[in-house]
Amino acid sequence: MAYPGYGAGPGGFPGMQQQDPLYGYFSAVAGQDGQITPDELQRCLTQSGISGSYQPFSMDTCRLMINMLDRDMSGTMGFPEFKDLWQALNGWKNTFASFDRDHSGMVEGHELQQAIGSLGYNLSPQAMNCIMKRYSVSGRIPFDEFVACCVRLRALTDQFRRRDTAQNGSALFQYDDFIQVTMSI
Amino acid sequence: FQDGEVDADELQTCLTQSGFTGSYAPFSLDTCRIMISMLDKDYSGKMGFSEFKELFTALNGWKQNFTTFDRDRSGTIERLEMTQAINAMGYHVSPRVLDVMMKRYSREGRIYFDDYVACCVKLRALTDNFRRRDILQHGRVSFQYDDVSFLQEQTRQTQEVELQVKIY
Repeated sequence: MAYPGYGAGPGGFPGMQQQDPLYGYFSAVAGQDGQITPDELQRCLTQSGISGSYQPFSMDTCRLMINMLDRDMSGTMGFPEFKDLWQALNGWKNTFASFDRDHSGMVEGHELQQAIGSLGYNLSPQAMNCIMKRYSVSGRIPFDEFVACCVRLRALTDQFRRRDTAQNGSALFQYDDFIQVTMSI
Repeated sequence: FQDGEVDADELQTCLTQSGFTGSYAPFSLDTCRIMISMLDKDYSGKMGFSEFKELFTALNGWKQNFTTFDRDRSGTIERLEMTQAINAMGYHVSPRVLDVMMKRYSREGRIYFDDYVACCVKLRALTDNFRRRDILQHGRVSFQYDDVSFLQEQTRQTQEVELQVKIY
């Protein structure tokens, strides 16, 4: 039974943080407060090479990523959230790469549909159609846009699920709540 | 206007030439895209003349509102003034919504005119969307995960047809 307020977060003793290779990338850009801003995140991700041979992430996408995990509404990200993000990014990158068979850094519209489906999202053809149009550049979707799409989908699905108390695929939103959720993303 | 319609680039040129923003910075291309998507009922990615007139009316209202609250003529408003501006437009929102707006649109705690307009466009479009679905006018809407709930997203690419995105 964990003692409330014991202090050590998930991941064990505070000292373990320093041995985590990810911490190296993070602390290289984070200030004294242990938090990073969107542009620091962009630098950090670029330096880590996580986008591999794909283009580095845009500022917009970095801002989105921070908002997705920003529980305290600070507009910045701490190390635990960074680790969460890293995991998610790796997953999305692998999914993308599995559909980007010609290594062009882009996927076709119908491949996007399959990719989103393979991530577990169950969307109608109309919804997928809108998503495709929203993120495509000349009919194809670049990696950065794909990630932006995944971030939004994940954040909104989380918000939706939290309100879908009967688990029947419908959620009730008060106006204020709706505005909070949709304006932040 | 080549074809009787303007796209985001043309809108930006038009508004800049008209001197609409006055002493404020001209609208960014992104903000112009947002404006088009707000009124783009036929999903063409472009705006016709009557839509343009509608936009212009809205813009005038927003500009007047902004200048009312930008009392020190700094070209920016801060959180308290933003709260007053939003209320003055008739929106009833919680402080948490203001938190979200400040986080999304402010730079170092201040909101510039261009970002303010982008915020107003989005707020208006979202509110209209919500209202249309709130048939009983109870302030609550039940969304299906996959149905027609729109995020009014700005057009990213000028060449592409931009759309409201259903993401739920």
